[in-house]
Amino acid sequence: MVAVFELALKRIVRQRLMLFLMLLFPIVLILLPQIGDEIPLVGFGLFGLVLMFSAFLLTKQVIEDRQYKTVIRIAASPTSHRDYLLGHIAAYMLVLMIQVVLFWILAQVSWRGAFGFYLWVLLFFTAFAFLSLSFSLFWHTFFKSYATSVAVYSVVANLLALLGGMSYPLAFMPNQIRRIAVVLPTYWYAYGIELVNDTRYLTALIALSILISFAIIFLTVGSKRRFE
Amino acid sequence: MSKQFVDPTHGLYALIGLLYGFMIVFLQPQEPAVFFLFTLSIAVLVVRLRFGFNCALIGIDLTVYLIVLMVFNEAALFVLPTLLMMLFYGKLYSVFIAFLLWFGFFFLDATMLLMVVLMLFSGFLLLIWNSELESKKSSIDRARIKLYNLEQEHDMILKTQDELSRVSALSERDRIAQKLHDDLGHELTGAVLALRALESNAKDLLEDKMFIALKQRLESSVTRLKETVQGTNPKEVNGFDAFKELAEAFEFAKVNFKQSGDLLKLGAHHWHILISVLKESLTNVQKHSQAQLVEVELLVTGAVVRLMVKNDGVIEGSHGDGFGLKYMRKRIESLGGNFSVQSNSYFTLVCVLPLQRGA
Repeated sequence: MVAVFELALKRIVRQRLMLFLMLLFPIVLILLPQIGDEIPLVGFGLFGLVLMFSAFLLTKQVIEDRQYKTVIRIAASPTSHRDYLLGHIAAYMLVLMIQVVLFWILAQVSWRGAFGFYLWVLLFFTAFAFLSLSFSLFWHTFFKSYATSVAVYSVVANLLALLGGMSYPLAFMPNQIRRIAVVLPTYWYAYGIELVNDTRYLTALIALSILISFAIIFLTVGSKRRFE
Repeated sequence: MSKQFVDPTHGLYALIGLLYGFMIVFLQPQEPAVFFLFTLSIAVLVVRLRFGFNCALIGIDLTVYLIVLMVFNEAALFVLPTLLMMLFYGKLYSVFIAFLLWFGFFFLDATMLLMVVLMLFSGFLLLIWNSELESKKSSIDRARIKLYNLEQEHDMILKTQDELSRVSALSERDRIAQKLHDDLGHELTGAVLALRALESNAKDLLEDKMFIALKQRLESSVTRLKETVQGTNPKEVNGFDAFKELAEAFEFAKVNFKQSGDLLKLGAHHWHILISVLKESLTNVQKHSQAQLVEVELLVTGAVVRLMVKNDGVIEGSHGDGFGLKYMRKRIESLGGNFSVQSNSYFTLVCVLPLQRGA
């Protein structure tokens, strides 16, 4: 597993532009203006969107392995599917966590706010990073090539963010939409951060659990070995 | 069989999807706790569908649901997909649980009854479809095994036929060579000796050209006959010699070989079968036993020949007839013989063949 992990990291490091963008976007988000003492919650929501795209770009390798039939060679090697999967997920999670921690520190520095709040936010970031990762894997299972996958995903991810209330304050969300939005994991991320801001920690914990169960669902479906 | 595009599991997935869709529309789970339960039930179900499920573990989550049900009744719906899945995998008591839930938590609501009945009905249909498909698949598999065995048997028969015709040709040559040597050779040698006696009595015959030619002819025909006999007599060992050689050459365990009765009564086809049975059983000893001692006993009585191979190294749990033994049994039975295998503390194989066909 360690060998696969190292290999996956090496492959990620080779994609310089992607890494640069992954580090650039959190910094851009920090530049959102703070009105009065209030922390711009939309910033966290938008960071969720960044996480979704980062995870998607990272998991490109998995679909490409399938597209170029590398999976068949991997299946013939003495590496098990579990090792392959865990190694890759660990490597992706590591990179995503670097991004998360970077944004987390920058946000504390520039927006201030209570440390307790940020600890909760870090939990939500981690859960959502994992969710984005498993959702990307899940998403890739429906496509045979990366090009189509990314084309459809860019539309769907934005829609998810919009409907889930990540790209604007949740208070603006009409009740009708909210009724539908509950089925989206993105809603629970945005809602969860709002709950933390309102110090309703128990409900926030439930929202966090919802994110994790969504991640489990996507990962279970998305981790199935496919050869085409 | 070509790959099917739709199979019962797809039906199950679709039905579960429909159920969850219905739940979202019906319950509109806005409350975080309700929605958490909702996602959790999906997660558990998906994990079950992916990694196989254990009925004892389903007991655990049914209990969890029941505890939650004390707080809000609608959660009873979350149990339905699990019940549907149990039904699909042949756990018929899930029907009972479904009706119990409906009775206890929906207060005999008619819409819910309709829902439960529809679910159970479609679950049943899927179950029937699935079991039919499975039985079809297994019957195809069985037919494939049969076909494979028949093909093997066919190969064996062809091989046996070749072998048998070769062995009978050899034994015929053996008989001819013996006949030439014993009868004709004897006569010719006698004639040569008589000529020589005649020659020593009548010296004047030495000048007779006719006599000299006759003597030379006769002597050269004796030499020719010797050569022919040597050429005809098959070099390889046959019959009893081959049988004994096979038993003695076995190195895996000590072989105790016993024989009794008149072996000359056996024909080439007997030897062929006996040798193949011995070969097969010694191979089996080597492959499937831990024998120290193998007893081989060959007994010819008035009407039958009986071969017994017995070893003391039975391994627990080794299975019955393999293909080789099955084929042997068929061949022996087709000759009117009998073949039996017994396995207790010893593994004993007894083969009885009639000396005359149809006897």
